[in-house]
Amino acid sequence: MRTLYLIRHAKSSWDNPGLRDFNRPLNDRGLRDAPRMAQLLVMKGVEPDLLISSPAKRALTTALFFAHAFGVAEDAVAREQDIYEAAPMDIMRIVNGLPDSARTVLLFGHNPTLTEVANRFSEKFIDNIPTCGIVQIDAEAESWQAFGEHNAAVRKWFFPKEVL
Amino acid sequence: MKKIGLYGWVLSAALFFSCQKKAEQPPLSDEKVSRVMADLFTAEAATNTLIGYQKDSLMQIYFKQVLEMHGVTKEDYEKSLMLIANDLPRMEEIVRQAEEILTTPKTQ
Repeated sequence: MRTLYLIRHAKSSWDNPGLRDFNRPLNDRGLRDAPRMAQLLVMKGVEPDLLISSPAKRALTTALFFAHAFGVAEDAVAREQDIYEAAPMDIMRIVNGLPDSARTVLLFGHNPTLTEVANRFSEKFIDNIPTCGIVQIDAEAESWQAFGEHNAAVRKWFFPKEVL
Repeated sequence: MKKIGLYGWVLSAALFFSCQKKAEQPPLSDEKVSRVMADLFTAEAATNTLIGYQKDSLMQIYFKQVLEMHGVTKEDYEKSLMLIANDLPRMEEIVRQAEEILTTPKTQ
């Protein structure tokens, strides 16, 4: 089995209009939620083999909080430029190209794409993955290349307002 | 010998900077962060029924007002959170205290 966790970056700040979207940092709520949601996954016994993130500051900072919680070195978090401003098909291409040695992967990215990807695998419609929301997709797939709608489904989701 | 001397300097410098990093303390006390956070919880609750830009704009106004009320700057509050966020038990305690502030009846 392979498990993919889609994790939307934590709440970010719009305070500085001079800042490029790419460089927007987490705001107070993001800084509060990210380490706590990371701990939630640790408590649930999740053991990630790979963390892969958009390089945008808000996504990467979120990923680094998760890395910290799992005892993963910061430089071991893979930065994937294509996650930033990705379309759902870009995310699927990245997922299908993941190394097969990694069975459990945490992918940190952005809306609306992550919600659209999650809905491809969900029986129940997910209106919106909130900031720092986590969606777990399990697949009966031998390889990431084979990961698709025919063998994978959303099993759970964890949203900050529901679990913290 | 020269090499050992150089390595010694590099090691000392690395230790010095790592110790300096560890010593960095949040600009605000934990209690202050809890008090600000408690009021921000209230602000969040007040904007819960709104969506989109309306919510973001109002939240920004509330955020600014809460910080002014407590006499703290955004930079100090966010830097404190950033440093505390790396210490989860401490963060949980601050959140717990913020929730306690909200649930404790105020004396008249």
